[in-house]
Amino acid sequence: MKRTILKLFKRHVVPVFLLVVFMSMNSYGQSTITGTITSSDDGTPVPGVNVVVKGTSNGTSTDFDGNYAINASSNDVLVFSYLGFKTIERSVGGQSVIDIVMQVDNEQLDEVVVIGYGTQKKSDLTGAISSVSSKDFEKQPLIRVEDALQSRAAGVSVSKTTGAPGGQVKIRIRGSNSISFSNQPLIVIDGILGGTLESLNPNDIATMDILKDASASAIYGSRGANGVVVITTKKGSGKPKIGVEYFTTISNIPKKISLLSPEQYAELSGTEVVNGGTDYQDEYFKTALLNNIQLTASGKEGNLSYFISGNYVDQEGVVFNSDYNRFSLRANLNAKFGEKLNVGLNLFGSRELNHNLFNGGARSSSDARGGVAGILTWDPTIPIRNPDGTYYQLQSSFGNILVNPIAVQSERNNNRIQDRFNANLNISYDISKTLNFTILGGSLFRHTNDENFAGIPAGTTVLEAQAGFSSSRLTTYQLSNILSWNKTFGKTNVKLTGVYELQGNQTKTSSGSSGEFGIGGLRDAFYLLELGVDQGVRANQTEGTIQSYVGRAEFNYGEDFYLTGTMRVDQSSNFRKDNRTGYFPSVSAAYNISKLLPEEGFFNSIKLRAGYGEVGNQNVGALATYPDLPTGRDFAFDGSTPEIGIGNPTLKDENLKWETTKQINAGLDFSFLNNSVQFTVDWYKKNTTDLLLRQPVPDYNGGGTVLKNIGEVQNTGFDFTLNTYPITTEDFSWNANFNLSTVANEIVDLGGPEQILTGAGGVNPGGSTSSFYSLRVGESLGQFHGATFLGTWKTADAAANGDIVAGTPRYLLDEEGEILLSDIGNGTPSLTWGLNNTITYKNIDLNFVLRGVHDYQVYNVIYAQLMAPTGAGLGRHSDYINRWTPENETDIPTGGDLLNSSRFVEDGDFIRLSNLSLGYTFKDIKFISSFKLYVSGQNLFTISDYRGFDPEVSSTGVSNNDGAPSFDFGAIPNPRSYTIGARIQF
Amino acid sequence: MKIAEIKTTNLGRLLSVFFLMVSVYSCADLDEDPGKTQLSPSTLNSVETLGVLVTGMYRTVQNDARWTDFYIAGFGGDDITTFSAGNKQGFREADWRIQTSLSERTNRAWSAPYSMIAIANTAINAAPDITVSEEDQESFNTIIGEAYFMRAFAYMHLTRTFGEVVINLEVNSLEDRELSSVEQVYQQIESDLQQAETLLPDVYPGIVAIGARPSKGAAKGFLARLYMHWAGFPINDSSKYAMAAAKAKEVIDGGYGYGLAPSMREMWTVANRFNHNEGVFTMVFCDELCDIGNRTTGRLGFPVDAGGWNETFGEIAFFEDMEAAAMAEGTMARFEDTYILEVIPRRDNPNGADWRNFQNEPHPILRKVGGGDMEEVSLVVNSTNTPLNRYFMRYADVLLTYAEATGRSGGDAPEAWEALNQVRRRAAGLDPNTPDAAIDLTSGDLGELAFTERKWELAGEYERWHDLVRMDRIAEAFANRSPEERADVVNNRTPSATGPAAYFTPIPQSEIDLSPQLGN
Repeated sequence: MKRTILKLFKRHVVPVFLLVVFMSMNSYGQSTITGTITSSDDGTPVPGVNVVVKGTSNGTSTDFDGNYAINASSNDVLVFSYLGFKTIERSVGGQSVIDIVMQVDNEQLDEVVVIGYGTQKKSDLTGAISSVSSKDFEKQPLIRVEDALQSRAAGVSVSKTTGAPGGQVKIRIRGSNSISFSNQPLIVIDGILGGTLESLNPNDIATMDILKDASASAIYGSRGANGVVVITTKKGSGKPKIGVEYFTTISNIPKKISLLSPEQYAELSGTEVVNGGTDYQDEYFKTALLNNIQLTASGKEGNLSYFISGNYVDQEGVVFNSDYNRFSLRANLNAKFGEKLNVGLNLFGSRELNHNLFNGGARSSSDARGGVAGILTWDPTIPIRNPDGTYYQLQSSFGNILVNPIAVQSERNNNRIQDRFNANLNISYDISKTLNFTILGGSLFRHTNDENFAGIPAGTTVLEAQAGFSSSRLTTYQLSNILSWNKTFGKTNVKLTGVYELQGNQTKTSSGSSGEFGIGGLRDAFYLLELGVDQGVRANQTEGTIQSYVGRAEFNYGEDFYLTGTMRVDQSSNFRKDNRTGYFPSVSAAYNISKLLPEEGFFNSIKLRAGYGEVGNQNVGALATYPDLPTGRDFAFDGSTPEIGIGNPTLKDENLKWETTKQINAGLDFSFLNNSVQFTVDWYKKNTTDLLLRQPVPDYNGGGTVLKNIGEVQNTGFDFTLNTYPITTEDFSWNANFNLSTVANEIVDLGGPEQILTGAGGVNPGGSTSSFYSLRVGESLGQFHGATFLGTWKTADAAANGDIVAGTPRYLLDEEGEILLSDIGNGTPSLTWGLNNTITYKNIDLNFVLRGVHDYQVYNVIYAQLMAPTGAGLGRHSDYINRWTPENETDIPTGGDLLNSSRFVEDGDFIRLSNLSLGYTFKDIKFISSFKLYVSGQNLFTISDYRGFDPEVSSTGVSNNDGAPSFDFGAIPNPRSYTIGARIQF
Repeated sequence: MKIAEIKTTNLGRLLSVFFLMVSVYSCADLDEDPGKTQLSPSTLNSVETLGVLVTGMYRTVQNDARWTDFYIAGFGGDDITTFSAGNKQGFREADWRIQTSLSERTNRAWSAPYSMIAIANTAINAAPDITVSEEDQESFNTIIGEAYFMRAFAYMHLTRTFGEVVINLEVNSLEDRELSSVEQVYQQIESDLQQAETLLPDVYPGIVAIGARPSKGAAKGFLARLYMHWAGFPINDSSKYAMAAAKAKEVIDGGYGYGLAPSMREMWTVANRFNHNEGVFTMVFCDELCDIGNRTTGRLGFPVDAGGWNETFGEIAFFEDMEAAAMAEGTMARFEDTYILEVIPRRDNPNGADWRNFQNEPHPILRKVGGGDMEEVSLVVNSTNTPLNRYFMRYADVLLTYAEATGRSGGDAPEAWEALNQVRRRAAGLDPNTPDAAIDLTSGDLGELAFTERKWELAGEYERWHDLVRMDRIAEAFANRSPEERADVVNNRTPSATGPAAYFTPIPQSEIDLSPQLGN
């Protein structure tokens, strides 16, 4: 370290020093003081630190390399200050070189939080808002923004329900409100509503502010019900900086399922093993590579600041023949014209390419029974291919009846190409010192091409090749006019904000399909659809518009008492005229009692907060209130020429309206031990009424569902955050952040019935007609519904009762002697926590993230399928060896168990080391300001009793199946990964 | 300036700017235009759109009637069985009449008829609001007649499978409904078929083969079938036999164009599926251009030796009895048209006659499932999605109904014996219309003789089970099971002629979950 500084001194400081000394020869006995300022956090130089001679206006700031030079006399005191660090004062004395290690300021009261159409100082907040900044996640190698959010904020649950590359990630803020519609939060990127996280480059993010309670999110009205993630991207500042980062990751599935060997299976099926059989897990899963490269250039030249970045991700899936690519480019430009006018232009473009991704990763094949579920239950006694490369047998009489899932996966070519271009312009003009007018105009353009080819279509029949091509084009615009007035009267500060906003979107889609191509061997047959028969075409368009009026008043008295009130009026084209307008008010207050505390007391600050707000959900899509006659019901009376036919009118409720969520929140923030321990606790209760619920219709009334505003769901819970800095010295610092959330979900009302039974979100294992889930008044969403398994009937039982067959499953019965179907578990976790640790010692930094998810069960339908239930054929799991026999009467039935049986409900609780990173930063390299090497591991271990691959995955999707969570029917497990990378700053 | 003044000035400015920015963009258009991208139900106001809706109704029938589980009840018959393992438990439980409300594969037989009923209800209820020109009157009558016919067809499928079912005649209603008695359901079917009988033409014009769309004759044929059930279990109103006989006779005498096909086997080929007049009501499939074929036929009726699906097989005792009867009575032609007894050109090329030595378990192969012509390899033998017809009712069925109903109602008309004998002559490979003393029957219990003739004639068409139920003879049929039939390898269960699901399939649990009143 000393040597480094010496070198730096020689190279940079000495010439400057000489120059300055020369220039100030004849001045007042002052000498030039020089030095380098580094951060205690990671030891890197800190540019832009203000260095002032105390009590004078004589000041300077550090250059890009953290160096400064200032004239001062030996009696002077130098003050070093920089946002985010503690201010340091040093007497000059006789020194000519003063190097400073800036200590990170734990309190950071001046941190600014983006609250929607404006900002607020963190210390002034009245609502429940968590902030995650780039500093929090930059020590973790990641390619997805969702990973940066995971385990970092109380009340924000981020579940990776699939390990598929490019798969969807489930984000819930304070539980699930909606039963039939999406519970994913609203994403606002640089003021533009409705962004997507998956296409975003995490490196572009400066801060993420999560608006958790309704007093904070009501400003987003009809789109705020699920909470809001407000993302602010980086801006350039200071000297030009160039950064390059590269990392590579290898991933594997965390474990294999223990199955019967081909020989054991052959014994059951009464067949013989051919050529040693096949280990389908080995054939299907593979070691996957990921490469990520990142380039950044940023800085400020005069009145123009810029931040430019490019990123390329190339990720393979742990399932063979599946991968994900993403390119992204960003340019954020900000220009200042005089004192009053600021113009910002953010441009973002991305291309994502998903290869063989199904249902956002919830399924591993186009047929829900295929993929992972398919390979585990397929006949292991036969080889996949003949020596000549052709498939040995596409179907087998044993195991599942599907077409060989390996062949299906090998012969498929499904691509989704998504191009996004996002431009937004921000013009801010200070009309007067107190009045500002900002226009925010943004447009998002997304073009999606889906190309799919199935050489051997998935399913239960060997079919001819099929292909399809579709194109979807989304354009949105947003125009926000924001007028704000901010004035201080004595101790009182008042801020008023008014917004008029228009948002519109239009999607145009077209698609074509055909099959049975006249020419064989066309792997890209989606470009040659005209060669196939059964050609189908479709086209459609949907449109939506929202018009909004927003007002907010913020009032603060003496920085002790804060009051905020908001009102948003939204008018959505999704509803008919009488139900179109929604009013979303909120009010919140905070009282800071820090001033009442003794100066040197235990507590440094205490703040009380409380708020109430109403938010909505309007996301039913276009034409949700207009019944239609479905097309595509053509019929060929002559067996060859289809005539156009239409279907029965769909059921629609004309009086559909908003789903409304009302939330109260009370919170307490305090810090003690010189701000090194900060604690925040929030309690909330939110009630969602007029639920947009897809009410199932009995088959005798036509079947399907009808969308209605019925019912109510309640979520209550606590969010705790404990942020500590146990050790902060010049060489060694340690930050530990622990957050824990509880959520109790309850269905209050279903609009009449006490329960509604539902399937597993469109997944239907084994062709079973039974309902796997129940929505029940008084219970949480995600209630498992099924039979209670009591073991097997024994020989003695069969002897006593002639109707009983020994070895068959025994269930709890109702009064009439029928199998009792009741609640047998719940798939919604009610306790989650995260522990983030960053330890820095000199040039070494260590980060680890531990997370826990508790108090929930998983429907292990995969295990069920492997244990010979009704419809699944012979047993396949190695546990099946211990099944009931007359000689060994175990509680494992010989077969015929129901799939929806408590036997297949397992505790999902897990604790996982989601990240462990170790980095070393080199600082004494020529022309390079810093060079960091790091190694990292993700999901290195998971502590769980779950028998399946991964207790976190689910086959029911992330957005709108909160009534059917934690359903493991072959979702792709989250891999265990090892990363090595380097980051260079010039 | 005083504070108050500053406030006023700024507020004034604030308000004027706000007013300006709101007025610049005039109010957004928030009214949707549903007509642009979708068809409104209000377009159901012409004969033309009603016709398009009825075309969609056929597709609705086809979407489900193409699958084997639509005929789940039929597995109870002694003619049909399935594989012991694999995913065939749902069929197995139907075969052995041990279904519960949780059994697999019972859903389609319940939901599909109600989809047909929903669309038929829409057509029937739209009819009064349509102004019909004189030239459209005939096609209008035909369309509405088809809707009535299809509604009756759907209710008959429901009640034959589940017994007591729900009657709903309204459009898009969300009312909770109770089960109706079997008799009430019969009355509804009767009333709809009588409407269809009035409205439908004698011969449906311009169709590919007779029976592809229903005529007056088809309505009468289904009335005859209804009365046969009404006369038997569970209502046992034997006065209905005479009505069945009368209706069947009207079909025979009415000039509707029906006749027995020269060869039974050819009806189950792609080449000759339209070259006969035996279909009274037939579902026509279109596999090549529409990819919506018949998935109850083809390879799914083959064993694994032929790379089959093991789904639908013949029962052993039935095969043996039929073979014996055919040899005794000279009807070997029909026996050979009922079972595949030649080489199946797939995988190991097993010989159908050699079924006792099949790899997994021994079962005869039904030709009405596997296909009439083993040379139709790509369209039938290799496929589970074939263009083969599904005959919901054949003219042979009508002839035998007439003979049986006549016998059971105490009649002895020579025309009834002639109807029976026409079927027997074809079964012997002879011209149906030329009397032959070696084959013709002239004495005995006409009702019973015709009942037995139906057993052989309609084997493998999912009809036998319904005959057993209406005559309440399921216990006898179970008693006749071959000891060679594979036992339940998994659960060691046995067939039951006495359990709660012996006669009728329990309503699927998923429906009871939505309507608990159906569960009691």
